[in-house]
Amino acid sequence: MNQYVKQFFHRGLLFGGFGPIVLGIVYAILQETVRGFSLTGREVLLAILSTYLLAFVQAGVSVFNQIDHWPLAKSMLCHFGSLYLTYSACYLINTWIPFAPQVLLIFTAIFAAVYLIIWLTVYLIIKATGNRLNTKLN
Amino acid sequence: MIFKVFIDKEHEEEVLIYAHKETPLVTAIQQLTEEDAFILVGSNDRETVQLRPADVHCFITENNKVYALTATEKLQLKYRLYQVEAQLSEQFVKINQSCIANIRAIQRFDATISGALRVRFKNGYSDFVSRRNLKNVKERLGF
Repeated sequence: MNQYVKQFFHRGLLFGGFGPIVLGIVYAILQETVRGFSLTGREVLLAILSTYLLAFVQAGVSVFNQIDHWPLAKSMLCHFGSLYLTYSACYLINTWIPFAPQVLLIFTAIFAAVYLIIWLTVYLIIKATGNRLNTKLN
Repeated sequence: MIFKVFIDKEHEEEVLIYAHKETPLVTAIQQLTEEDAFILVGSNDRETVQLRPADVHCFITENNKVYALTATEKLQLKYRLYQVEAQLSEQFVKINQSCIANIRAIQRFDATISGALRVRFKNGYSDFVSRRNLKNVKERLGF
């Protein structure tokens, strides 16, 4: 099996469990804050499975950016695309957002903006760390 | 500090230092001496060779096998990575679960778009610094 595919599944299996944990925390907060908040067993099962898959993919897709022979645009597109599709599917399946063009457009815009901000922040921090370490090498 | 070398095949090889205090130079000489005393045996398809840790750019694990990467060669070792690590001087640092880097052989650190820190070695090989080992790498480089 390709080493990147192996790493994808390895990371996914390591961190997939965090999805349902975060979901449980959110549901606990909602129960405490929203009056009459309740869910059916089927809704809970669907939410657990979909958030597990979400965390699995979220952890696994970092592999795309480590494939050296891929161009930067391809890596980023695959990384962003996989996350966007998984998040959209998860939100739609659980009816956390309605299946309406306007809503999807807003969701996409917010998702892209948050993705860009997080990516830029992490990248700049790591770049600064790398530069500081390089000064010690020279 | 005065430096003298005596080439004498009859005398046991030794390094003696008289210093007023322990300086980075003394530590560096000590490390070089210790590294020189530890000889590894590695092999490739053609031959089995002895190599000094100082000549190794990094030690890596691939498919449960440990390799030493020098400037030009990839030699398989018969040790486990933790056994090699235990014998190495401060000049080496573990950068992730399967790679020990020779600090002198690091060309530069790069940020990747995935938010990871990549180490590029002088022999062209590159690997990543794991979050777990980043603190250790920083400390070894004097931060």
